[in-house]
Parts: sequence; C-alpha cells; structure tokens
Amino acid sequence: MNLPAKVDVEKDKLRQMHCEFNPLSRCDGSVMYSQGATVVIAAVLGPIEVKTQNLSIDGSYLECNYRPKAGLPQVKERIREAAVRDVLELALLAEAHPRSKMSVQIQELEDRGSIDACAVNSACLAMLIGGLPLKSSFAAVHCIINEQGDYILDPDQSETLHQRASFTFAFDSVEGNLLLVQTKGAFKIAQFNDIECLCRAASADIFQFYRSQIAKYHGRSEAIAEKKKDESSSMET
Amino acid sequence: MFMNSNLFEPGKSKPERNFVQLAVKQNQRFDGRRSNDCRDVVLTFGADWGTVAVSLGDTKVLTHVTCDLGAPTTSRPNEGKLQLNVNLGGVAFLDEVQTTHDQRSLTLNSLLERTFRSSRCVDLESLCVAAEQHVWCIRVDINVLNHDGNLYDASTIATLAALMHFRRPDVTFADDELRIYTEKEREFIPLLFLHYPVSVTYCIYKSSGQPIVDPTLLEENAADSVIVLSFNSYQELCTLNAGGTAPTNVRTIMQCARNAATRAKAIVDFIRKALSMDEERRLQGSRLIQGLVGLIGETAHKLSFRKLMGQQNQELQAPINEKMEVDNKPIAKPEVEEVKTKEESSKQETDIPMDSSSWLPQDEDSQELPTPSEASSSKAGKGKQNRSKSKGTKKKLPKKQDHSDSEEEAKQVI
Amino acid sequence: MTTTSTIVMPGERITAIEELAKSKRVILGPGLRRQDETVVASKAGPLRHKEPSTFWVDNYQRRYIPARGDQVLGIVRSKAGDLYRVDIGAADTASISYLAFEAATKKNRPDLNPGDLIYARVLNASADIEPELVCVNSVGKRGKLGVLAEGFFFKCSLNLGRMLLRENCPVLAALTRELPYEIAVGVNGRIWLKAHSLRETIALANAIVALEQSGYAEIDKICDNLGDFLQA
Repeated sequence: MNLPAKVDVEKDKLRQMHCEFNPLSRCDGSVMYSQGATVVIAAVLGPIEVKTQNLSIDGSYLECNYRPKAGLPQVKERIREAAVRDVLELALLAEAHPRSKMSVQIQELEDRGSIDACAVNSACLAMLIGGLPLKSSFAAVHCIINEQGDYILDPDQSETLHQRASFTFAFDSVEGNLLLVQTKGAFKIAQFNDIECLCRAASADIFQFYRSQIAKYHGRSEAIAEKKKDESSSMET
Repeated sequence: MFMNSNLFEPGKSKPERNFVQLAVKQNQRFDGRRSNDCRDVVLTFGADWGTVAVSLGDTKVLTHVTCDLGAPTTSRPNEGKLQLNVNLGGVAFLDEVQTTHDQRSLTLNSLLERTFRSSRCVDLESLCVAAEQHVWCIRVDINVLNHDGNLYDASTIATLAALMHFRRPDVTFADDELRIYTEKEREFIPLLFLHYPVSVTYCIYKSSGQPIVDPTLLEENAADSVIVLSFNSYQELCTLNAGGTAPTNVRTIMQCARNAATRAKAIVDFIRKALSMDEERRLQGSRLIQGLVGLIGETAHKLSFRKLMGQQNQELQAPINEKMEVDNKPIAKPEVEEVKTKEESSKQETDIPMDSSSWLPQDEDSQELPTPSEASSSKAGKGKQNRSKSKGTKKKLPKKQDHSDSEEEAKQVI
Repeated sequence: MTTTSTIVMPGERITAIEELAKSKRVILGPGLRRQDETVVASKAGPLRHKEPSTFWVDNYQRRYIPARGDQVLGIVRSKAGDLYRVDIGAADTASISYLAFEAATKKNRPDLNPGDLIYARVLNASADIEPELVCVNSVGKRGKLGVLAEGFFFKCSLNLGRMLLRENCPVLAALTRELPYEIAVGVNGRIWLKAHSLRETIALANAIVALEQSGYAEIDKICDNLGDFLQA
C-alpha cells in the first residue's frame, strides 16, 4: 500500500502541509498536522497541577509523550520523545508558570516519512494554539541523501528505503539557531552544510505556514475585534 | 493534592447533575436529540490495512491492527491469538483524572474482551499455520483520542471495523520452514468472522424511566446507571453490562435490548458498506488513498453513517452482500460468506417474532423473573468461558437467542 | 481606540511598542514580555492596542491563568479546615475562606458542599501562590457573587467568556430580545445560565456555544434560529 513518492513535489520542496486546530475537546490546545501522508495529532495541557516529585519553584515541569500507532513506546519512540522534549525545553518560557506542569502528548496516526520533524512541528502548533508561553516558535525539517547522492527534502517513506544518510534539523524562529541536529549514516561535512542550508530555507516555509494558519484561525473571529474590549467587568442581565 | 482538578469533566457539579436529571425527565437532550437518537458515526480508513479512525460526535478513537507469528498456548494449540490493548492516556488525557481512570479503563477493557474475545467473533482456528508451532497473533491497539461520552460504542465500532478492514500476509509452512509472502507476491488475506458484534450504550436516570442511547460525557457522568449491550448482526446478545444505582425495570432492559439489536445490525451494515467503498477506492488506484490525511477538514474520505445509510436504506441488503463476495477474492472467504448469508436469511425469519413487540414480556409478572436470571447467567457463563481455556472443540455459531443455554452446555463439556 | 490586527508569533520583537515606550509609560498585557530593552511576544495571536498605551496578545486560550479582580465560576471540591477548595480551572485549586461570604461569622458558616457552583472574585493571584477567592465586595455585601443553584453550567474558551463580558456586548442584548434569562460569565471560560424553562436554557446554551464558532457576524442568524427553535 505504498503511496506514490512525493506526488507532484520537487525534491527540494516540502510536501504539502495541512493542519486542523482543536479537533479534540478535552485539552487546552490540540492540532492535527500532516505533511504529505504523514499525520500526527498533538495535544497540550498546561499550566496544570504538578506532582510533588516533579515540582520546581523556578519553572514549569515539561512532560512530553509520544505514542506510536501500534504497541507500546519502544526505544525508537523514546528517542523521538526525548528529541521533541529537548526542543520544547529550549523554546518554552518555563519561568512564566512556576510550580506547574506543561503536558504535551503526540499521537502518531500515520507514518510516511519525516515523522521526527512532524512530531516537532505538531508540538509547536499545539503550543501556539494552547496559549502556552514560548520564547520562540520552532520548526523541524527532515532531509536525506539518496543512493544517487541527491538531496531529498522531506522524503516520503518509500524514498527512504535506500538512503545514505538522513538528517533532521530544528530551528528557532527568531535567530535561526539550531535547536536539534539528528544525523544517521555517512556523509561529508560539506554535504552536511549544504543540507543545513537547504533545511534552514525550508524552515522559513514552515514558519510562514504557522503564521498563516494562526491568522486563519483568528480571522474566523476577526469580526469580534471590531468591537470594544473590556475584560474586567462582569455582567448579569 | 487534588489530582483531578486540572481537567474539566462535565457533570461534576450539582447544577449540571440536577439539570441533566430534569432534562431527561422532560425528555430533552442538550444536543437536541431524542432519547433514542444516536450521534453520527464517521469512519476514516488509513492507508495501511487495519487502521481505522472512528468518531462518534466528539468522541474519537483510532484503532490499528497488527499481526505477527507466534507460538500458540498449550491449551489451544490450533488457534491463533487475539489481543486487545486499550490506551486511554495520550492525547485524550484520560489518565490525568486519576480517580476515575481505573474504573473506566477496566470497564472498557472487560467490555472489549467479552465482546470480541469471549464471544469468539474472529475465527481463530483459521489463524493457525502449524498446530502447536506457529499461529498468527492479532493485536488490536485502541487509542482513545478524545472522550465525549460513550467510549464503549466508539471502541467496539472501531475495533470491529479495523478487524474487518485488516488483511494479513499469506504464509506457507513446508519442511519446517515458514515463508511469508509480500503483498506483491500473493494478495493479503482478510480475517474470517463467525459473527460481527457491536455494542450499544444506554444511560438510565432515577428521575425517568426512559433510557437514553449514546450518551455524551455530560450525560454519562450524570447518569445513575449505564447499560452496555453488545449485539451481533444476527441480533444475538454477546455482552450485557449493567451497573449503577438506578433501579431498572426488566421491561426497560428488554426495550433497550430490542433497540440495540436493530442498531447493531445497522452499524454492521454501515461498516460493510464503508469497507466496500474503501475497497473501490483502492481498486481505482493508489493515488486516491489518502489515508488519515482525510481526517483533516471536510473530505470525501470521511464516511458518515447518516450519509451512507440515509440514502441507501432501502436497497441496502442485496448490493452489499454481492459486493462483499466480489471483494473477497482470496481463498476460503466466499464460502464462509455464503454460509453466513444463508444463515443470516434463515436467522431473519426466526428473528421476526423476536423483533416485534412480542419479545417484550407481555405479562410482566410471569416473565419478569426468568428473564433477568437468563441475562445474568449468560453473563456469568461468558466470564467462565473466558477463564476456562481447556475447551477442546470450537463451539459453532450459537443459534438464536438461547445463548445462555449453549454456554451452559459448554461448561458441562468441561 | 485603534484596533490593529497584526498577527504576532512568539519571539517576535514589537518595535512599535518600544518606540512608544521611549516617550511614555506602556502597559504590557498577557502574551507580551520585556526582555532587557526590547518587547517580545510570547504567544501567537493578533496584537491588540487600547488607548492610551495598553498592549496585549489576544490569543486563543482555554486554560485560565488567575488574575486579581477576575470574576470566576468555580466548583467546590472539598472542605479543608476553615477553607473550601474550589476548582476554577487554573493550575492550582483556589481557596475561599468560609468567612468570605456575606454575613458569615465563626458561628454562622455558609453551607457549601462538594459539587456546589459558586461565582466569586479572585482576591489574590500570583504565579507562586495558590489563588484566593472571595464572595463579598469591599463593604461585605455579596452583590452578584455567591452560590448558583439550579440553572445550567458549561465551559467555553476564555475568548468567548471575555467577549460576552465586554461592555455593550451585542450578543447578550440580542439574546435578551428573544427571551429573559439570567447569566453569569466567568473569565475562566465557564458560563452559568438560567432561563424560565429547561427548554429555553438548552436553547440559549446552544446559541452561546454556537458563537464560539461564528463570532459576532452571525449573531442575528443565531438569534433567528433561537426564535425558531423556541416557537417550534
């Protein structure tokens, strides 16, 4: 049941991104995010009460879980989870809510390549829509070097079967700092630099996507903004 | 620490509970449904075999079926295994609510176990590759994504749909060597079913005798008792789960059961129809298989119960069975299907009196006593059957309504 | 009053505010923070400005962060000594002293039980301590605050709660034209409603929930629907 490899998309472009905000009703913010045929759902809850053992008086505790579609999380999923947590920890404004917990849950729905990058991106979108304070937004991009030595950005699963090396980079939106580097396979340092540039360029698209999606979500209720605003009084009729 | 303060659970405050009680009394529901109206069921099939996302209103469940080869248990050397795994944590955040979590996960687990394993809906003997050596182990992962009431029905529908959607690779065993074929070499094989069970949930309130079907989370939390009935498409009872504090009339339970049987049949028909549509899409070319990307936004890949069943209510029965047979190219399946359709038709004849109001005890006093005992004995029988693994011969499809009787027989054999 | 609807993202520097801050005092609301000499957003959403110099990010939010003076709806969770623990939907449970009710004395305690719904004001709130509520104003009168019996109660986003609480909110006025009702809106995104009949209450609640999806633009349509529903 293999999907055709990156339908109508060039090798140096990201696959089509889609997202839907707040498909779930129980959490503070949730997003269903897809990149090509890879689909994940991320949900955040926070700030919420924290267990005493995790309590920290100068920052919030971050909990991050990744759940595969089938079975219990194995080593591979734990690594992914740790990667997402590391990125989140760098971006989260922890001091805003001391003595509390931020919980991020990511559920894999379908893995068709670049699942690491999708997990990170969905976590960012969920944080944005959940109204959790961030120092900056962040985006991750996956890229591989295939058998022919070509670079393929955001590959489909079918393209990753014969890869020489794979890379996942995460960048922040402000200074473009690298938040995460994951590499696998053998490559030359020049190739690494090339791919970093390629991914950095692609991350701009993702930030643009974030902004347009948030704008779209708020545009829905933009009519409200026309009216006056007073938050402090209450009213009974 | 008050661990459940973080998550908003409707139905925890007094005004809400009183309001729901009052609303039920006046035969009103918050979403404008009548007491016997269900929410719309939407199925979305994934790109892989055996991946199904089900939404029942705002309740969302993702089910994924996987299989691998393993060794059978010594007590049942010629049967495959069926394993059900429920996951309430994750994005649903159901594990945050510590106090109610255990109860919830236990009830859901036992319901699924009884509905799918104890009722022997999957033909496990067909999953045997070599007796005492290699059998298929089918594993169903039920990931709850969102809980807005009636997790039971959403989970059973999702599980059944995923099992029906699932295909396993073909395998041969010769000269002590297992050979598993890829999809390109030999086409994948669907699972064989003996019957198709689905649950229907009712909530009962002290303030009113009228049970309500398919409760939302608010209604479920405010309910005095919850009744879950699993029926298969032949309208046979597979599981009955009743609990809570509301004293319930036998009449009410029988009424629930009658409606549940009809509903279960409709749901199974719907799943079949949805499967055949998915099949058509797959035949048209892999480009059209969108997988779960279809969950985002309003797309044609969401298969809605109302849409599908609303249009084709009349001409439903015939075309579907035909399609099913066309679809089942792989070996052995058509045979079974035929048997089943025959059985179904014969069953329908016998079902007719059951379906009409005569099924309801007309003389309450005379009927009231035996009926609940029958129900409870069938329940007990199920439980025991589950535990006793030494049952040698596979029991054939139980005929008609006398479930409990056949269960008793099974016990005597042991 | 000017309304800007530029979308800001976390980490974005807002130079317009920095410019303004050179000449006068600027008040930074939720979603904005000062980092040395720069003003940086920490949440994603439209940037709002209220004359003379208040700025905030109007992001979508469901989780309530307690702030002094807010009026909130809470559910009593338990009694603890001379305090009641109240769930207001924030990270911590809030506490309310049994003396913080009208005419309450040590002898004459208010009769609150777990599950009761109260409308209260936040007296103290800070990230480091648990919030404290009161059900009286500064002169010891209960005013609108207190226990809410009967009626119906549901949750919505904080944005919807704030929208309903705005002065001259057209929604509540428009709904009043359809039928009389009582409403208590907590800034913590919880709404309590009571109309004459149960049917009306359900209809109202559905109308308000529908607003979450559509906004002001469709208020007329929603009111029409409501009218139709009640007549049917």
